[in-house]
Amino acid sequence: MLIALITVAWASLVAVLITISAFILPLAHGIETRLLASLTRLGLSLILFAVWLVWLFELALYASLKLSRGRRSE
Amino acid sequence: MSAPEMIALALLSFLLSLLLSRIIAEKIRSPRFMGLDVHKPDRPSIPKVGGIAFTAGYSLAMLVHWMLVGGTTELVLLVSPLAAAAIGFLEDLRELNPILKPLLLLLPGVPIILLSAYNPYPFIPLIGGIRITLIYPLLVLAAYTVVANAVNSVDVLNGSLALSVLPVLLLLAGISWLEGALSPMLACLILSAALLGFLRYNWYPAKIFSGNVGSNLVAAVITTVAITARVEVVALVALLPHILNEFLIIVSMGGLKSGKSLTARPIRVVSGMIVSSQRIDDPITFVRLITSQRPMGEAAVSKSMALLSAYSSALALLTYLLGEVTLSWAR
Repeated sequence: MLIALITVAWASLVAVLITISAFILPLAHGIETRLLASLTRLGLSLILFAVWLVWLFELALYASLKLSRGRRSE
Repeated sequence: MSAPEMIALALLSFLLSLLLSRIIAEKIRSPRFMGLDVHKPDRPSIPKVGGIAFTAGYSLAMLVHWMLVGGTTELVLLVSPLAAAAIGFLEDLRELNPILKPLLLLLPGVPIILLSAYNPYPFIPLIGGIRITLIYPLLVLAAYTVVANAVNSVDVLNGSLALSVLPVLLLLAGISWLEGALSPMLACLILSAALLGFLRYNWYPAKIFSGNVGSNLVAAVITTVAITARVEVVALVALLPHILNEFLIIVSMGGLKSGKSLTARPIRVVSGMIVSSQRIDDPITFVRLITSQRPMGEAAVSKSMALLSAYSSALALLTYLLGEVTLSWAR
Protein backbone atom coordinates (compact mmCIF):
# COMPACT_ATOMS: atom_id res chain seq x y z
CA MET A 1 0.00 0.00 0.00
CA LEU A 2 2.79 2.45 0.88
CA ILE A 3 4.64 1.56 -2.31
CA ALA A 4 1.45 2.57 -4.16
CA LEU A 5 1.25 5.78 -2.12
CA ILE A 6 4.83 6.75 -2.99
CA THR A 7 4.31 5.80 -6.65
CA VAL A 8 1.19 7.97 -6.88
CA ALA A 9 2.98 10.82 -5.06
CA TRP A 10 5.88 10.61 -7.54
CA ALA A 11 3.63 10.23 -10.61
CA SER A 12 1.56 13.23 -9.56
CA LEU A 13 4.76 15.26 -9.02
CA VAL A 14 5.85 14.36 -12.56
CA ALA A 15 2.35 15.35 -13.76
CA VAL A 16 2.74 18.72 -11.99
CA LEU A 17 6.13 19.25 -13.70
CA ILE A 18 4.67 18.32 -17.11
CA THR A 19 1.73 20.69 -16.56
CA ILE A 20 4.08 23.54 -15.66
CA SER A 21 6.30 22.76 -18.64
CA ALA A 22 3.52 22.23 -21.20
CA PHE A 23 0.84 24.74 -20.11
CA ILE A 24 1.96 27.30 -17.53
CA LEU A 25 5.28 28.38 -19.04
CA PRO A 26 3.91 28.83 -22.61
CA LEU A 27 0.83 30.62 -21.16
CA ALA A 28 3.01 33.13 -19.32
CA HIS A 29 5.07 33.76 -22.47
CA GLY A 30 1.98 35.40 -23.94
CA ILE A 31 1.94 38.06 -21.24
CA GLU A 32 3.73 41.21 -22.36
CA THR A 33 5.21 42.56 -19.12
CA ARG A 34 8.20 40.52 -17.85
CA LEU A 35 7.44 41.03 -14.17
CA LEU A 36 3.82 40.03 -14.65
CA ALA A 37 4.91 36.96 -16.63
CA SER A 38 7.31 35.89 -13.83
CA LEU A 39 4.68 36.42 -11.15
CA THR A 40 2.10 34.49 -13.17
CA ARG A 41 4.49 31.56 -13.61
CA LEU A 42 5.44 31.56 -9.95
CA GLY A 43 1.86 31.95 -8.71
CA LEU A 44 0.41 29.22 -10.91
CA SER A 45 3.31 26.86 -10.13
CA LEU A 46 2.88 27.40 -6.38
CA ILE A 47 -0.88 26.79 -6.64
CA LEU A 48 -0.16 23.53 -8.46
CA PHE A 49 2.30 22.44 -5.74
CA ALA A 50 -0.24 23.31 -3.03
CA VAL A 51 -2.85 21.20 -4.83
CA TRP A 52 -0.27 18.39 -5.00
CA LEU A 53 0.33 18.56 -1.21
CA VAL A 54 -3.42 18.51 -0.44
CA TRP A 55 -3.80 15.57 -2.80
CA LEU A 56 -1.00 13.70 -1.00
CA PHE A 57 -2.62 14.18 2.39
CA GLU A 58 -6.04 13.06 1.18
CA LEU A 59 -4.41 10.01 -0.39
CA ALA A 60 -2.62 9.06 2.82
CA LEU A 61 -5.76 9.61 4.88
CA TYR A 62 -7.66 7.34 2.49
CA ALA A 63 -4.92 4.69 2.74
CA SER A 64 -4.92 4.88 6.53
CA LEU A 65 -8.73 4.52 6.79
CA LYS A 66 -8.86 1.72 4.23
CA LEU A 67 -6.14 -0.29 6.01
CA SER A 68 -7.73 0.22 9.43
CA ARG A 69 -11.15 -0.91 8.16
CA GLY A 70 -9.58 -3.93 6.47
CA ARG A 71 -8.01 -4.98 9.76
CA ARG A 72 -11.21 -4.47 11.77
CA SER A 73 -13.21 -6.68 9.42
CA GLU A 74 -10.74 -9.59 9.81
CA MET B 1 41.69 13.01 -4.93
CA SER B 2 42.48 9.41 -5.89
CA ALA B 3 40.23 6.39 -5.28
CA PRO B 4 42.53 4.85 -2.60
CA GLU B 5 42.49 8.17 -0.68
CA MET B 6 38.67 8.26 -0.84
CA ILE B 7 38.48 4.66 0.42
CA ALA B 8 40.91 5.52 3.24
CA LEU B 9 38.71 8.46 4.34
CA ALA B 10 35.57 6.29 4.27
CA LEU B 11 37.38 3.64 6.30
CA LEU B 12 38.57 6.25 8.82
CA SER B 13 34.99 7.49 9.18
CA PHE B 14 33.65 3.93 9.66
CA LEU B 15 36.25 2.96 12.26
CA LEU B 16 35.93 6.16 14.29
CA SER B 17 32.11 5.90 14.26
CA LEU B 18 32.26 2.23 15.30
CA LEU B 19 34.72 2.94 18.12
CA LEU B 20 32.84 5.97 19.47
CA SER B 21 29.48 4.15 19.23
CA ARG B 22 30.92 1.41 21.42
CA ILE B 23 32.33 3.90 23.92
CA ILE B 24 28.99 5.80 24.09
CA ALA B 25 27.04 2.53 24.50
CA GLU B 26 29.29 1.33 27.33
CA LYS B 27 30.34 4.48 29.17
CA ILE B 28 27.57 7.09 29.05
CA ARG B 29 25.19 6.77 31.99
CA SER B 30 24.37 10.41 32.83
CA PRO B 31 20.53 10.76 33.02
CA ARG B 32 20.51 13.85 30.79
CA PHE B 33 22.02 11.82 27.93
CA MET B 34 19.74 8.79 28.39
CA GLY B 35 16.40 8.02 26.72
CA LEU B 36 13.76 5.31 27.15
CA ASP B 37 13.37 2.68 24.44
CA VAL B 38 9.55 2.72 24.61
CA HIS B 39 9.08 -0.07 22.07
CA LYS B 40 10.59 -2.73 24.35
CA PRO B 41 8.52 -4.50 27.04
CA ASP B 42 10.98 -3.52 29.84
CA ARG B 43 11.52 0.05 28.44
CA PRO B 44 15.34 0.12 28.96
CA SER B 45 17.18 3.41 29.33
CA ILE B 46 19.96 3.80 26.74
CA PRO B 47 22.26 6.66 25.58
CA LYS B 48 20.37 9.00 23.21
CA VAL B 49 23.34 10.93 21.80
CA GLY B 50 24.86 8.12 19.71
CA GLY B 51 24.74 10.44 16.70
CA ILE B 52 27.89 12.05 18.11
CA ALA B 53 29.78 8.92 16.97
CA PHE B 54 28.99 9.24 13.27
CA THR B 55 29.07 13.05 13.44
CA ALA B 56 32.70 12.76 14.64
CA GLY B 57 33.53 10.12 12.01
CA TYR B 58 32.05 12.20 9.19
CA SER B 59 33.51 15.49 10.39
CA LEU B 60 37.06 14.20 10.87
CA ALA B 61 37.12 12.57 7.42
CA MET B 62 35.66 15.68 5.76
CA LEU B 63 38.12 17.90 7.65
CA VAL B 64 41.03 15.84 6.31
CA HIS B 65 39.47 16.06 2.83
CA TRP B 66 39.14 19.85 3.09
CA MET B 67 42.74 20.19 4.32
CA LEU B 68 43.97 18.11 1.37
CA VAL B 69 41.79 19.64 -1.34
CA GLY B 70 40.54 23.00 -0.02
CA GLY B 71 37.63 24.73 -1.74
CA THR B 72 34.29 26.30 -0.85
CA THR B 73 32.13 23.25 -1.57
CA GLU B 74 34.35 21.11 0.65
CA LEU B 75 34.13 23.71 3.43
CA VAL B 76 30.32 23.94 3.40
CA LEU B 77 30.08 20.13 3.31
CA LEU B 78 31.89 20.25 6.66
CA VAL B 79 30.49 23.40 8.30
CA SER B 80 26.76 23.26 7.48
CA PRO B 81 26.24 19.67 8.75
CA LEU B 82 28.28 20.49 11.89
CA ALA B 83 26.07 23.53 12.58
CA ALA B 84 22.95 21.37 12.19
CA ALA B 85 24.43 18.69 14.49
CA ALA B 86 25.21 21.35 17.13
CA ILE B 87 21.57 22.52 17.06
CA GLY B 88 20.47 18.89 17.38
CA PHE B 89 22.76 18.37 20.37
CA LEU B 90 21.23 21.44 22.02
CA GLU B 91 17.80 19.90 21.50
CA ASP B 92 18.99 16.58 22.95
CA LEU B 93 20.03 18.42 26.11
CA ARG B 94 16.84 20.46 26.50
CA GLU B 95 13.43 20.46 24.84
CA LEU B 96 13.24 23.26 22.28
CA ASN B 97 10.08 25.20 21.51
CA PRO B 98 8.48 23.56 18.40
CA ILE B 99 8.39 26.96 16.70
CA LEU B 100 11.97 27.95 17.67
CA LYS B 101 13.46 24.68 16.43
CA PRO B 102 12.58 25.17 12.71
CA LEU B 103 13.87 28.73 12.95
CA LEU B 104 17.22 27.59 14.42
CA LEU B 105 17.49 25.05 11.63
CA LEU B 106 17.60 27.85 9.08
CA LEU B 107 21.17 28.57 10.33
CA PRO B 108 23.01 25.67 8.59
CA GLY B 109 22.05 27.24 5.27
CA VAL B 110 23.76 30.53 6.15
CA PRO B 111 27.36 29.37 5.29
CA ILE B 112 26.16 28.26 1.83
CA ILE B 113 24.70 31.70 1.16
CA LEU B 114 27.60 33.66 2.67
CA LEU B 115 30.19 31.65 0.72
CA SER B 116 28.01 31.64 -2.44
CA ALA B 117 28.35 27.87 -2.62
CA TYR B 118 25.11 27.55 -4.60
CA ASN B 119 23.98 28.02 -8.16
CA PRO B 120 20.65 29.89 -8.46
CA TYR B 121 19.87 28.17 -11.78
CA PRO B 122 18.55 24.77 -10.63
CA PHE B 123 17.75 22.16 -13.23
CA ILE B 124 14.19 20.83 -12.92
CA PRO B 125 13.54 17.57 -14.79
CA LEU B 126 10.95 18.00 -17.60
CA ILE B 127 11.16 21.79 -17.28
CA GLY B 128 14.87 22.49 -17.72
CA GLY B 129 17.05 25.17 -16.15
CA ILE B 130 15.21 27.94 -14.32
CA ARG B 131 16.52 31.27 -13.04
CA ILE B 132 15.45 32.01 -9.46
CA THR B 133 18.23 34.26 -8.20
CA LEU B 134 16.08 35.99 -5.56
CA ILE B 135 14.09 33.01 -4.29
CA TYR B 136 16.88 30.39 -4.31
CA PRO B 137 18.73 31.65 -1.17
CA LEU B 138 15.41 31.57 0.72
CA LEU B 139 14.79 28.03 -0.52
CA VAL B 140 18.29 27.05 0.68
CA LEU B 141 17.48 28.24 4.21
CA ALA B 142 14.05 26.56 4.20
CA ALA B 143 15.44 23.29 2.79
CA TYR B 144 17.55 22.61 5.90
CA THR B 145 14.64 22.94 8.30
CA VAL B 146 12.25 20.90 6.10
CA VAL B 147 14.72 18.06 5.51
CA ALA B 148 15.91 18.02 9.16
CA ASN B 149 12.34 17.63 10.42
CA ALA B 150 11.58 15.04 7.74
CA VAL B 151 14.65 12.88 8.52
CA ASN B 152 14.06 13.30 12.26
CA SER B 153 10.47 12.06 11.84
CA VAL B 154 11.61 8.59 10.71
CA ASP B 155 14.15 8.20 13.53
CA VAL B 156 11.60 6.44 15.74
CA LEU B 157 12.69 2.80 15.73
CA ASN B 158 15.95 0.90 16.21
CA GLY B 159 17.97 1.19 12.99
CA SER B 160 15.28 3.17 11.12
CA LEU B 161 17.36 6.33 10.62
CA ALA B 162 20.45 4.62 9.17
CA LEU B 163 18.52 2.07 7.09
CA SER B 164 16.16 4.66 5.62
CA VAL B 165 18.88 7.13 4.57
CA LEU B 166 21.50 4.69 3.26
CA PRO B 167 19.68 4.14 -0.10
CA VAL B 168 19.31 7.93 -0.48
CA LEU B 169 23.01 8.55 0.26
CA LEU B 170 24.17 5.81 -2.12
CA LEU B 171 21.91 7.16 -4.88
CA LEU B 172 23.14 10.72 -4.35
CA ALA B 173 26.75 9.46 -4.37
CA GLY B 174 26.18 7.78 -7.75
CA ILE B 175 24.41 10.75 -9.32
CA SER B 176 26.97 13.23 -7.92
CA TRP B 177 29.68 11.10 -9.55
CA LEU B 178 27.78 11.17 -12.87
CA GLU B 179 27.50 14.96 -12.53
CA GLY B 180 31.24 15.27 -11.84
CA ALA B 181 30.65 16.56 -8.28
CA LEU B 182 33.32 14.49 -6.54
CA SER B 183 33.30 16.17 -3.11
CA PRO B 184 29.49 15.74 -2.64
CA MET B 185 29.95 12.12 -3.78
CA LEU B 186 32.70 11.60 -1.21
CA ALA B 187 30.57 13.22 1.52
CA CYS B 188 27.79 10.69 0.82
CA LEU B 189 30.22 7.75 0.90
CA ILE B 190 31.90 8.95 4.11
CA LEU B 191 28.54 9.40 5.86
CA SER B 192 27.34 5.99 4.63
CA ALA B 193 30.47 4.39 6.10
CA ALA B 194 30.00 6.24 9.39
CA LEU B 195 26.34 5.16 9.56
CA LEU B 196 27.34 1.51 9.06
CA GLY B 197 29.64 1.78 12.08
CA PHE B 198 26.84 3.36 14.11
CA LEU B 199 24.27 0.78 12.93
CA ARG B 200 26.27 -2.00 14.62
CA TYR B 201 25.10 -0.55 17.97
CA ASN B 202 21.79 1.00 16.84
CA TRP B 203 20.32 -2.15 15.24
CA TYR B 204 17.62 -4.02 17.15
CA PRO B 205 17.89 -4.32 20.14
CA ALA B 206 19.65 -0.94 20.13
CA LYS B 207 22.36 -0.01 22.63
CA ILE B 208 22.39 3.64 21.51
CA PHE B 209 19.99 6.09 19.84
CA SER B 210 21.06 8.61 17.22
CA GLY B 211 19.34 11.60 18.85
CA ASN B 212 18.69 14.90 17.11
CA VAL B 213 22.45 15.45 16.83
CA GLY B 214 22.62 12.50 14.41
CA SER B 215 19.41 13.03 12.45
CA ASN B 216 20.22 16.73 11.93
CA LEU B 217 23.71 15.89 10.66
CA VAL B 218 22.34 13.34 8.16
CA ALA B 219 19.68 15.79 6.94
CA ALA B 220 22.20 18.60 6.55
CA VAL B 221 24.63 16.41 4.59
CA ILE B 222 21.84 15.36 2.19
CA THR B 223 20.69 18.98 1.77
CA THR B 224 24.21 20.33 1.23
CA VAL B 225 24.95 17.58 -1.30
CA ALA B 226 21.67 18.30 -3.15
CA ILE B 227 22.54 22.01 -3.38
CA THR B 228 26.25 21.71 -4.24
CA ALA B 229 25.80 18.86 -6.74
CA ARG B 230 22.68 20.58 -8.19
CA VAL B 231 20.42 17.54 -7.78
CA GLU B 232 17.67 19.21 -5.74
CA VAL B 233 14.64 17.56 -7.35
CA VAL B 234 16.30 14.13 -7.40
CA ALA B 235 16.98 14.45 -3.65
CA LEU B 236 13.38 15.57 -3.08
CA VAL B 237 12.06 12.42 -4.78
CA ALA B 238 14.54 10.16 -2.94
CA LEU B 239 13.35 11.69 0.36
CA LEU B 240 9.64 11.29 -0.48
CA PRO B 241 9.00 8.75 2.34
CA HIS B 242 10.66 11.06 4.90
CA ILE B 243 8.95 14.23 3.64
CA LEU B 244 5.57 12.50 3.33
CA ASN B 245 5.94 11.13 6.86
CA GLU B 246 6.67 14.58 8.33
CA PHE B 247 3.94 16.20 6.26
CA LEU B 248 1.36 13.62 7.42
CA ILE B 249 2.37 14.11 11.07
CA ILE B 250 2.08 17.92 10.87
CA VAL B 251 -1.27 17.88 9.05
CA SER B 252 -2.83 15.10 11.15
CA MET B 253 -1.69 16.79 14.40
CA GLY B 254 -2.96 20.18 13.22
CA GLY B 255 0.37 22.03 13.12
CA LEU B 256 3.88 21.99 14.57
CA LYS B 257 3.69 20.45 18.04
CA SER B 258 6.14 18.70 20.32
CA GLY B 259 5.64 14.94 20.23
CA LYS B 260 6.08 14.77 24.00
CA SER B 261 3.08 17.08 24.58
CA LEU B 262 0.66 14.82 22.75
CA THR B 263 -1.42 12.12 24.38
CA ALA B 264 -2.62 10.58 21.09
CA ARG B 265 -0.17 8.02 19.73
CA PRO B 266 -0.10 6.50 16.23
CA ILE B 267 0.98 3.07 17.51
CA ARG B 268 0.91 0.86 20.60
CA VAL B 269 3.29 -1.89 21.70
CA VAL B 270 1.60 -5.18 22.58
CA SER B 271 3.77 -8.15 23.64
CA GLY B 272 6.79 -6.62 21.87
CA MET B 273 4.86 -6.14 18.61
CA ILE B 274 3.99 -2.76 17.09
CA VAL B 275 0.25 -2.33 16.56
CA SER B 276 -1.25 0.63 14.69
CA SER B 277 -3.85 2.82 16.35
CA GLN B 278 -7.46 2.18 15.31
CA ARG B 279 -8.57 5.73 16.11
CA ILE B 280 -9.04 7.96 13.07
CA ASP B 281 -7.98 11.11 14.96
CA ASP B 282 -4.57 9.79 16.06
CA PRO B 283 -1.48 11.07 14.16
CA ILE B 284 -0.87 9.42 10.79
CA THR B 285 2.73 8.22 10.39
CA PHE B 286 4.47 5.77 8.10
CA VAL B 287 4.97 3.35 11.00
CA ARG B 288 1.20 3.44 11.63
CA LEU B 289 0.50 2.84 7.94
CA ILE B 290 3.07 0.01 7.72
CA THR B 291 1.54 -1.77 10.72
CA SER B 292 -2.08 -1.07 9.70
CA GLN B 293 -2.62 -4.52 8.20
CA ARG B 294 -0.97 -6.60 10.90
CA PRO B 295 1.19 -6.16 14.04
CA MET B 296 4.89 -6.30 13.24
CA GLY B 297 8.18 -6.58 15.12
CA GLU B 298 10.34 -3.43 15.41
CA ALA B 299 13.14 -4.78 13.20
CA ALA B 300 10.65 -5.78 10.48
CA VAL B 301 9.14 -2.26 10.44
CA SER B 302 12.64 -0.73 10.13
CA LYS B 303 13.37 -3.05 7.20
CA SER B 304 10.06 -2.03 5.56
CA MET B 305 11.04 1.63 5.90
CA ALA B 306 14.40 0.86 4.25
CA LEU B 307 12.57 -0.89 1.41
CA LEU B 308 10.33 2.16 0.88
CA SER B 309 13.41 4.38 0.87
CA ALA B 310 15.14 2.12 -1.68
CA TYR B 311 12.02 2.27 -3.85
CA SER B 312 11.82 6.08 -3.71
CA SER B 313 15.55 6.22 -4.51
CA ALA B 314 14.85 4.12 -7.64
CA LEU B 315 12.12 6.64 -8.58
CA ALA B 316 14.64 9.42 -7.97
CA LEU B 317 17.03 7.73 -10.42
CA LEU B 318 14.17 7.59 -12.94
CA THR B 319 13.56 11.31 -12.34
CA TYR B 320 17.25 12.01 -12.99
CA LEU B 321 17.03 10.06 -16.25
CA LEU B 322 13.91 12.07 -17.20
CA GLY B 323 16.05 15.17 -16.68
CA GLU B 324 18.61 13.77 -19.12
CA VAL B 325 15.79 13.28 -21.67
CA THR B 326 14.74 16.92 -21.15
CA LEU B 327 18.35 17.99 -21.71
CA SER B 328 18.59 16.03 -24.97
CA TRP B 329 15.31 17.64 -26.16
CA ALA B 330 16.63 21.08 -25.29
CA ARG B 331 19.74 20.40 -27.37
